[in-house]
Amino acid sequence: MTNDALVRIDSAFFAYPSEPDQIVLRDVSLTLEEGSFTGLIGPSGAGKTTLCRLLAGFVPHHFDGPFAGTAAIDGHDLSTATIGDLAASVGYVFESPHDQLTGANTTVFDEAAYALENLGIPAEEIRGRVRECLETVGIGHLADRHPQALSGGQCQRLALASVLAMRPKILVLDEPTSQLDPLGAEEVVQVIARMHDRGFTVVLCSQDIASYAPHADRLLLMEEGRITADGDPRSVLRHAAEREAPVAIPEPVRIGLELRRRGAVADTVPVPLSVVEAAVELSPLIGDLTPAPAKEDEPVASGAAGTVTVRAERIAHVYDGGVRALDGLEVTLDRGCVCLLGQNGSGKSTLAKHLNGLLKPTEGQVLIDDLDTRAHRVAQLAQQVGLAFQNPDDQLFKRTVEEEVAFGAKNLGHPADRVRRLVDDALTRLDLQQLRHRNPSELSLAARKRVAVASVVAMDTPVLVLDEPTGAQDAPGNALLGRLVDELTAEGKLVIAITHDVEFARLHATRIVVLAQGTVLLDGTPSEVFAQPGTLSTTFVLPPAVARIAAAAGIPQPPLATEQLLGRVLPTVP
Amino acid sequence: MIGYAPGDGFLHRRNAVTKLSWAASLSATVFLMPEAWMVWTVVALVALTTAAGGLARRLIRPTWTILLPFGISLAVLQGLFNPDNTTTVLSLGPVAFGLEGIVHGVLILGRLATVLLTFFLLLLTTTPKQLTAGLAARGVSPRFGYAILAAIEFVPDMQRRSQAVLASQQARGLDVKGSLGQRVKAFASLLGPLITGALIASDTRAMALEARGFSARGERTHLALERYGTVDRTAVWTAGLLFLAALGLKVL
Repeated sequence: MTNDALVRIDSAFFAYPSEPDQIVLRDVSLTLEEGSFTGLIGPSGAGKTTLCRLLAGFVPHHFDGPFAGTAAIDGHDLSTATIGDLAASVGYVFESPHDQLTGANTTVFDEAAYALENLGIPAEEIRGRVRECLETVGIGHLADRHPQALSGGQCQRLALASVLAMRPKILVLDEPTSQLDPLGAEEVVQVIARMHDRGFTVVLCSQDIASYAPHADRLLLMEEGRITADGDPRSVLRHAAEREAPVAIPEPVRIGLELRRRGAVADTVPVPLSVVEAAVELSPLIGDLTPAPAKEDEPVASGAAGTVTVRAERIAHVYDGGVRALDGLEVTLDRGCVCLLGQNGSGKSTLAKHLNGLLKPTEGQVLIDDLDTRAHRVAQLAQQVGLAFQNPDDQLFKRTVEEEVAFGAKNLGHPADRVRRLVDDALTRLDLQQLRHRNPSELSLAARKRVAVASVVAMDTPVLVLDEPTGAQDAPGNALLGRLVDELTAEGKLVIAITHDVEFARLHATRIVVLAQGTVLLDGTPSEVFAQPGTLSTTFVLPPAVARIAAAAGIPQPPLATEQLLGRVLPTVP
Repeated sequence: MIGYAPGDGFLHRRNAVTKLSWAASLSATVFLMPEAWMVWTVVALVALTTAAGGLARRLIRPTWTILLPFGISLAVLQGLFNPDNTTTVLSLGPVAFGLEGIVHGVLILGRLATVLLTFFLLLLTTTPKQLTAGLAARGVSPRFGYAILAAIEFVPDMQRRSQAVLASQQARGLDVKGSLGQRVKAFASLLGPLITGALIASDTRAMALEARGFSARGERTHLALERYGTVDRTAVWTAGLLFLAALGLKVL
């Protein structure tokens, strides 16, 4: 243990007051050096957020459950220091973008200045710092806007700017990019990396390991409240991959490990972490490439069309205030899993709300088979189209998971025994059987999200629209939702998924529709769409990592999956 | 309905505390005045000030939107049911409108007009931050200032949430435009997530506030703090004395 440790935690145990028997931190000991960049990885419920909260003093002061052990944060003994005492040392960015607004400011500028005013920083210095930080995170032009008028992504950047302006020694970020489009997330990670370069100590918890692992100098793997691996990112990710820990291993690591397993690269060479490193490792191995197959192996929509066809005919939608969110959009959706991609504000969610009549087009028409959404109530259209929103907390209100999942099915007037069967089936598919008698509000965000999806699945509609279905899920949760989508499409349902997760789209979409500025930019199979990285970048979408690695290594017609890539580079090695 | 409108008139340039003092003083004073003509003289003076500040057009519509229906209700209720009614000004069959009641209604309406106009002027020419900064500089707790700001922001915040909840429940087949029974059911399913969501949000917000130095001890900076000079000091004292004078006259 060195002398310049900024954080020192010894044998910490903790349980939340609502569930005192459920230990969420178990014998956690940790030292963080000044200027380090530490990533926290692990499945949902592993204790990552709780550890972040401990660093800021929320545990055990705001969440005052049973706590044992000792912790010193920047010289403050956690047993006596208050959250306020730690505020000058620790800056914290929360996952939920709007909830972390102070609610006391009417402009973005004032919101970012709020903490500095509380800390008594001189006015001129506040103005300078705030302007600089807003520019740093790319929202300088929004300084006069009302914070509540920001999108989720803009709000997350504001939260980051508000914290950066405080110049805390330690930046603690809990899923700071979960609401951002891929390039937006990449930009925020770059900002965080720059802050680290300038001397900030960074602790980042995110399921998007691939985006930040190359910048981190240490990863902690947490499982069931314990730190089970601790070291440099390459060794921790290799360790996690080899023992199949429930985390999303970045594709560069996966490819690197496969090259080592097949003997193409010496086992002692550290595995690559970034797209560039993987491409550099791959390039010398490219000899006589096997030609790309005429059609890549990718999900295929079942031959028969679904039972319902959704048609948007030259629709436009203008919100009060004049924002034109959709602009002459034309698309017909009739089978398989269609993923809608596009940057924040490209019109994806607005389109989704048109598909069940929550929004009516200001021009054009939306037809669900022959039903014109303008002439029918949402409740009537819900017989055909079920929609699960991004934020589960906007819909959960029943006392048990079971009642919650039955809510939509009952509203549609299904007989009681059918409702029971549908609920049972949805609970099984979403791995919620064990939680069926629990109160939804007591569950983790990942489980609440699955309850929200289950309640729409139980409606048994021919069309399902899922807004960011994999949000807040860990690797097993992602796999579960992927399987669900595959099963639903195999049953002939039309699934429309709005997502920023290009890996999810690659694995499960039979068709991808990319939106930009309220209209269709690209429309095709995953291979067709991801083969156009230049066009995709105009709407802040990146192709899957494998395609980017292959393209950077100079492989023509870059494949989308690791197996395809290795099959072409090392065709003779099993 | 009324929010801050940027400007540089003489009312915009006055300190927020000065404007709050006058709004509070005049609003309290008119409730001590016994005669309608006195109250309406105050209303006229406030209206003249509004016009001189170039703000009349912004205030006419919101003020009348409230005063007109309230005034009609007062005229009917006071004209019909005021126990002091002795002089009939209008008879419609068995129904008689009394003069005394209508005059009393005019008095009440004048008091409401004063409260509306003075506080509308305050809101129109003062940002919430200027107000809380001004109060904090006069020794009011920052927590009280936050309560004012959060209260102002509460309504639009809840509107945003309720729209999201409503959309979410409709998407699960809830009919919000059906029979009365269906609407009652819809209301319950709206209220639940609204309250739960607000509680979850308030928990995160409480942590975010603490992490941003909400409870920090020591001197605070107020970017929105305006100059509080001799003119403002004199104006605040005058507002206080006006109220005390009205109180004295009432007691005597």
